[in-house]
Amino acid sequence: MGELVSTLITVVLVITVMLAVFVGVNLLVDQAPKRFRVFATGAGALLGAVAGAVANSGGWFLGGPLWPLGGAVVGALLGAFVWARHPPPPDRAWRIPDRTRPVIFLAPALFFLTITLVAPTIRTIYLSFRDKRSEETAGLENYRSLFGDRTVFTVEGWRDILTSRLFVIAVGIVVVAVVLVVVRARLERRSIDFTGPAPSGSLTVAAILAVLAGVSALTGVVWNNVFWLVLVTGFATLLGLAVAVLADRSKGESVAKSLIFMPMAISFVGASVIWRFVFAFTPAGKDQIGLLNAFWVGGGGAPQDWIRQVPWNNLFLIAIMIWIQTGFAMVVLSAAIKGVPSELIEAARVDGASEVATFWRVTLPQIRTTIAVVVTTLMITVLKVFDIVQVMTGGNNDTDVIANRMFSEVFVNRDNGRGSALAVLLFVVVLPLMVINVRRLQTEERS
Amino acid sequence: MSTTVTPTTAPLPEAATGAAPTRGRGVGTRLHGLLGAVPTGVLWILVLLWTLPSLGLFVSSFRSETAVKTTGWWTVVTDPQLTLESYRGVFSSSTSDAPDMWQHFMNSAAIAIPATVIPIAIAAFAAYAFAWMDFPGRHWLFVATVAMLAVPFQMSLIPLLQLYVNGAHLTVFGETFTLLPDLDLQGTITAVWLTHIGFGLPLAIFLLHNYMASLPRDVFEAARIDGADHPTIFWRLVIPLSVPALAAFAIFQFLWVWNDYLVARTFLSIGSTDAPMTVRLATLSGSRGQDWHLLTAAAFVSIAVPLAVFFALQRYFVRGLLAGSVKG
Repeated sequence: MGELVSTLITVVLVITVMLAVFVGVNLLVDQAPKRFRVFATGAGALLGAVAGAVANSGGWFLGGPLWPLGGAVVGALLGAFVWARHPPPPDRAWRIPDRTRPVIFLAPALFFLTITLVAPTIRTIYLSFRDKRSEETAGLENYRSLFGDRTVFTVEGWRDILTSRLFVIAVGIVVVAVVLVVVRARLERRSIDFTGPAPSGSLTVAAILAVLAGVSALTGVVWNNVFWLVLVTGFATLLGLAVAVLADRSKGESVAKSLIFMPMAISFVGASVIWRFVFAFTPAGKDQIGLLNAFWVGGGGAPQDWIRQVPWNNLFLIAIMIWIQTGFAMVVLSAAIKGVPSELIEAARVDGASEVATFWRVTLPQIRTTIAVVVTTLMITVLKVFDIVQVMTGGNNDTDVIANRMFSEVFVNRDNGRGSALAVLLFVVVLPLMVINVRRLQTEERS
Repeated sequence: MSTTVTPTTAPLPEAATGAAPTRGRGVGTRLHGLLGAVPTGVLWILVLLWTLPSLGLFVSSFRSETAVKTTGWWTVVTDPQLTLESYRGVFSSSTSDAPDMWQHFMNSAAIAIPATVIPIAIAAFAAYAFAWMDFPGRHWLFVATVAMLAVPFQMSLIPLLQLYVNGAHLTVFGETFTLLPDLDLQGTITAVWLTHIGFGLPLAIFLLHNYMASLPRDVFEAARIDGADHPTIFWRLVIPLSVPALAAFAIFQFLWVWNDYLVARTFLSIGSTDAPMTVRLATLSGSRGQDWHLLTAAAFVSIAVPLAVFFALQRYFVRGLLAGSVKG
């Protein structure tokens, strides 16, 4: 309670001081055209105070707080007796407020952004080339040791993919789909077209099976991140789209959407606890308390300890993220679907297009950019997944991901070098997505 | 939605006029009706799947310790025995290892409130400058801010940790300058919300800028002709007009910070009495088995506030989500 009250007082204080400084500096700048003497004195005092604080920042001299004060006095005197005696020509003085205003408006934000994001990013890159305790330079040693670490990255076992049943089925589906499309194109004398609902659908299923084949064979932090990325992004987008479309024509639309969206409001930690109960395991013979095992045992299976079943345990953690993010995809896509002009839909109907065809050929192309936004946003979120893994398994049982490994490097192994290198790895992967975001922003600005 | 002609109603008039319905058509109509119900059916199955896990936790939190540990929560249907035992357990501070959620609830609020209010003030200034002021480098500065939306927080954690422990120093030609003094922030709530201010700013600036830039230009020109300068326009015109965007960001940021685990876990020592609820919940979840009944109630306490905010202000939350669906 005390903590909260003192924080609230701090908040009020911080905001008051910030606004007071903001208003004060603005008023000061306003004086420049009309009363340059006042402006020069005030600005001199301000600059002097900053200079004084910086000059003594190393703590070389005695008298701590006296330095900014002294600087302010000297600055004010200089301003009043030198600057004010030689004022700039009036037309330049008139431009001072307009020139300085953007600086005043931007300064607080740029200050915070520099301290919390810009400078740390540069420093993390620097630290990734230093040793454990950041004392000596280590060259590429951190990166080399990471990629030499079999728990981080390995291609061992990739051959098992080719022989896995899932992969064989996936190849089968692709072959059948290709043959059917080609035959149909020949019979109807059209060009070969894979963009229809059926071919796209079967290729998607094949892709999912292929990824699952990868899950069964490949291990390591990097691969786990890839699986998270592909499966969460894919499933959350598909399910979100499905719900958006299904709800769009049903009665309890708002209720259904609220309930699907609700997990977005729950913390990752809270969600993990919720699912811990779903995946709960008690040995055979006892009552199962977890929903999943209850169904499994009810269907005749032996109870499973889901989150310890290497390698499929990854899928159960991934399911939690899908559960959370589907609501996000649904809300954004639903808004886009409602934005498709109804004349387009009706025109397609009048032409005799079926519901599926209308959706596939009219709605989907219209919301393509929104789908791209959803996919990039999900990718950025999923790449940094940490909380769920940390709470569910702590990264044990082959479920570790980059962000969680970084955390253990820093806090368990006390290795800032490798920790930074892992952060840089995440950053490098996010960079293309960042570029896409900026590009999109610029095209939006132009249009 | 309103424009769709429901296909199932189309054949009905024919049947109503008494035109002898052939057998095939009857089956066809019924089949058509069934098929028409499939989408709704699938939707509600999904909704059920999405709701059951949370419902399970909610029900479990009202069951006794032995019940939670020995039988499934769905048995309440046949054996409805509910108790507030778990809630009493998580709010007590009698034993040393009791969760004492009340304390952690206050910590969550003490972190989330400043981390929501202060960035709004800072970002509003910056967003206004980006939207309505002319200065060299405006475009690139804004692009850089937007780019920061995607920077993983992981890039900042180690340097910020060092900053809060030691301050920031720069050594040039053997002389050390203190850029930022050591304020002994590590392990304090202040460190957590200060960090969240910085992390929340890119989204805040982006959201508010988009909103402010969409305000009609005439309003500004009229105000400027009346002799209003930037600060006046900002306070009198832009801030009142931007309330929906400010609210959208506030809700988004509040939920984000309230639900955050990574930042709090990094800057507060584990088991700290200053920890927010997410950190406490994660620690509780790590203890294998013995505290499961407490875990249910603690989890529900921690998600109660976000859920209340969410259901009460869903529209603003969605608006924030749609306007800037990118966050690092």
